[in-house]
Amino acid sequence: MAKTYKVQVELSTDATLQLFKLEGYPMALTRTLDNVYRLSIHDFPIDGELDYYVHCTGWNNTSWSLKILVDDKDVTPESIKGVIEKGYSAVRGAIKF
Amino acid sequence: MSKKYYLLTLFIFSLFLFSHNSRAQTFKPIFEDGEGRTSIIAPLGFLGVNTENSSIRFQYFYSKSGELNPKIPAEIKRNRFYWGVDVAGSAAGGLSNLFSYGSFTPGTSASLFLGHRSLLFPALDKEGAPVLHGKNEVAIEDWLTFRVGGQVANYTLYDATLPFANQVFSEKFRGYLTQLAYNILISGATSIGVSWDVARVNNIDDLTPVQFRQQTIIPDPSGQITRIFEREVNAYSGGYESYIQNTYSLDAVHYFTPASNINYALHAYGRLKHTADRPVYRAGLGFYLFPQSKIAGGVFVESGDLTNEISATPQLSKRIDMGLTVKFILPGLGVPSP
Repeated sequence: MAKTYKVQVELSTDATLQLFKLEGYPMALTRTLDNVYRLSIHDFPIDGELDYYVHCTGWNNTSWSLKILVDDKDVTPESIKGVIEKGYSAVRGAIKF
Repeated sequence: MSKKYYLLTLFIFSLFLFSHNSRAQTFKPIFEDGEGRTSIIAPLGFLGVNTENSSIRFQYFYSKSGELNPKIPAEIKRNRFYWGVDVAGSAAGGLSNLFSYGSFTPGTSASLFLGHRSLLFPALDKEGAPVLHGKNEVAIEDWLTFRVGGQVANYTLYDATLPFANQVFSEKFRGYLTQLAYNILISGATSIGVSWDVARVNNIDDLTPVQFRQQTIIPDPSGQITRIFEREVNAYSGGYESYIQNTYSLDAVHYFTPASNINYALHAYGRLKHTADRPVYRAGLGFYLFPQSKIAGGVFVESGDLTNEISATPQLSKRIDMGLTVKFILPGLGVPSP
């Protein structure tokens, strides 16, 4: 049984977020007026590393940056960044914490 | 003429006041020609003006978001259909003529759209990852849109050859439009649209606007006083007719996206219009700016009769018109999503 954590996500971008996944599951993020997509979730099971997936579309050269907090601790001291090229940006990765 | 630009400036200024929040940097299909026609139709809502045909247009789209597959939680069920409405008011003879004596005068049109995205190119796979195409592995999105619409207009016409009592008369126009448009966005930078439409149209834009004062003189039975009532009449003179027209459209847009605050795009388009007699070609070029706000717009130069089929002016340079279109992007109304 995986241990559960409180997870907070902030994805800043001017592009359109097509899909965001944590641990392989599509997650709904809410876009706030400051152009940040946010998520706060309690008791989220994480098995080892935290797997994430970001897929944005929009103008080429539009950037995005991702910040994740696990149990109120920033596990992305340097934001994960991406930029749209050829009409999309899709990045998969894992965070050790 | 000056009143028209005054209204436009006011419109743009009022839009700028409300346009500082959203900066969504995405594909904005706002390109059109001097008649407001385009084959680049994709689900995005806007409110816009076009000075060349003096129209105000409101377009709204709706599409349902994708859902998770209840049996396989990692899979996404996309809903590829979208629908939309479009309402436009146009005034042959300038925006300032749109409201005359407090009543809405010529040209109101409304359309319904039904569309399907990712018709030939699945933009996303079942798990939501982008499906890439070609050697360069680029993203491709496409939209097929079917449109039906109607138009009503009342025109005041003037014909000097008729008996005096019948010289000024009004004509009701009831038009319709059916359009099928296919649009593709390649690599986030190039967009191509093709469309065919059949419409019942009229030649009001080719008629000459005339303006005169009409006096009604009522003498007092005693012969002491005369009352003169004066009314300003705006009419069109010339042979008015309506007919069925087939139009084939081709639009090509290339977006330039320097990593700055302003993106821009070049738009080239061609139209082939088939009526009962000769085909007429319309072609033009547009330059559009997309600052980081809800406002976007551009200028275009075009020739409504490229090969001089119906025009009375043989010189091409005199058959070139310039227009301006400004759109207020309505955020959240159909920004492309799964």
